[in-house]
Amino acid sequence: MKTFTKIFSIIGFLLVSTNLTFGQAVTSEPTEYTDPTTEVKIIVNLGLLDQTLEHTQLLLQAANDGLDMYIWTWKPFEFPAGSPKANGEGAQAWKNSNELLKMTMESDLVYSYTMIPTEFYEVDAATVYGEDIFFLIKPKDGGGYGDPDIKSEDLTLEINPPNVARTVVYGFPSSPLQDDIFRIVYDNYREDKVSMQNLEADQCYVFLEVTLTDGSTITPSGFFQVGNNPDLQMKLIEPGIFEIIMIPEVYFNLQPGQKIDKVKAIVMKKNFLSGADRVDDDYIVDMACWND
Amino acid sequence: MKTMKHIIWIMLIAVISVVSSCKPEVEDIGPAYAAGEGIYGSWEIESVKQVDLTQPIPESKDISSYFNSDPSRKMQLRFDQENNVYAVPQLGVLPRTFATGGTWRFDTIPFPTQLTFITEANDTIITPIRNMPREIDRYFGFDVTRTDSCGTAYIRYEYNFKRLN
Repeated sequence: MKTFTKIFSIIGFLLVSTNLTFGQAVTSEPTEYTDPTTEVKIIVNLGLLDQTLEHTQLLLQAANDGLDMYIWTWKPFEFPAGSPKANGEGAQAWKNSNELLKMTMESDLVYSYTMIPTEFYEVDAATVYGEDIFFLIKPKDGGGYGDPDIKSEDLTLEINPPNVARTVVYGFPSSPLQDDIFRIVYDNYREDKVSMQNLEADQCYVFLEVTLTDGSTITPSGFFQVGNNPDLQMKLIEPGIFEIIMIPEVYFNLQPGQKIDKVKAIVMKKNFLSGADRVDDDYIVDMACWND
Repeated sequence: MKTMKHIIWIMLIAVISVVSSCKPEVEDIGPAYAAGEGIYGSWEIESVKQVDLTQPIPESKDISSYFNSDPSRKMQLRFDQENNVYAVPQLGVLPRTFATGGTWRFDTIPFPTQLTFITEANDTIITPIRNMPREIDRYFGFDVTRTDSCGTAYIRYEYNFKRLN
């Protein structure tokens, strides 16, 4: 048993030390980069690469000799040979990096490359999120063709969308016009409020209130009459998921010229007796700027 | 040596006969037709997908069940050849993008990629075609991207229609 503990301790130490040694080789400015349609500076500290690898040792030597460093990238998109953005030029591209991809020396062994990913790779943001940025660092002549390679290992800059975790009540689309098809969804599975958990299929209703741009409001039913209005029942569309779907201007019977400022939705039980029978937070969707 | 030559000749003949026997027969592909000619007639909404373009990764939802549960919610469109007029005989429950009628045109004939609607109110809606309808096709679709008041595209509707007649 003691032997196992020792083995696990050693493995744990190796994992931690490996992470400490190599984990921060690639960073970015801004540090929390989430929008690939904006500029990012990709920063690589060559001193934090795995120096047990021969090609890395040669890369460090090249950097110490004052050679320029180049980024070589293939994801989210690799431009083909002949493209102005191809990684290398000529018949032996690996030996002749594209000047467009020359990095900026920030300090000793630290290099950067600045780009707007969607523009640089000519892809949309979703592709960048899905693929991330894969690249390596090399001098203009990366060796090869019988000579040892001079390069870093494959490096990655992960780019993830901002945290857009949904509340238990949410709308789709997130920013509708008043004549769009609009769903209000209640995810009862994720409900933390114990008194609202495990709602039966016929027990979920929603109080709706529309505020128009002139300040007036429309409510199909008052707060305590919601459970008597079948139009306000949320349908169980899959286990734990309720929804009501509408075109707001039709649903609320708007007259020509009337504009919605916002829609408020409060999910509740059919029999509303107290605060325990409703969700804690109101869901409000703002339509004002969309309807101008 | 002679035997070898015989073998080579026999193999050569065999290869040639195999290759020639594999040659596909070209059959009559029928009369030519202009792309998009099959659009004339009446169509009913078959499926609709919404794509929320404001999300970092655009999210889509198929809302077809909303229509399939109630035929009166289905929009119908009719494209007339004469004067390139279109009509919306049944509005259904969908954004009133196409009003009740207007005119339509393809962008580039004979190989259109977009269908343009000009409503009675003179609004212009340009829709990339999802597939090119031939006379034999029963399904046809196009996309409508909507923009907010600032000109930002915020949602795309992916419409698919089924031919009524």
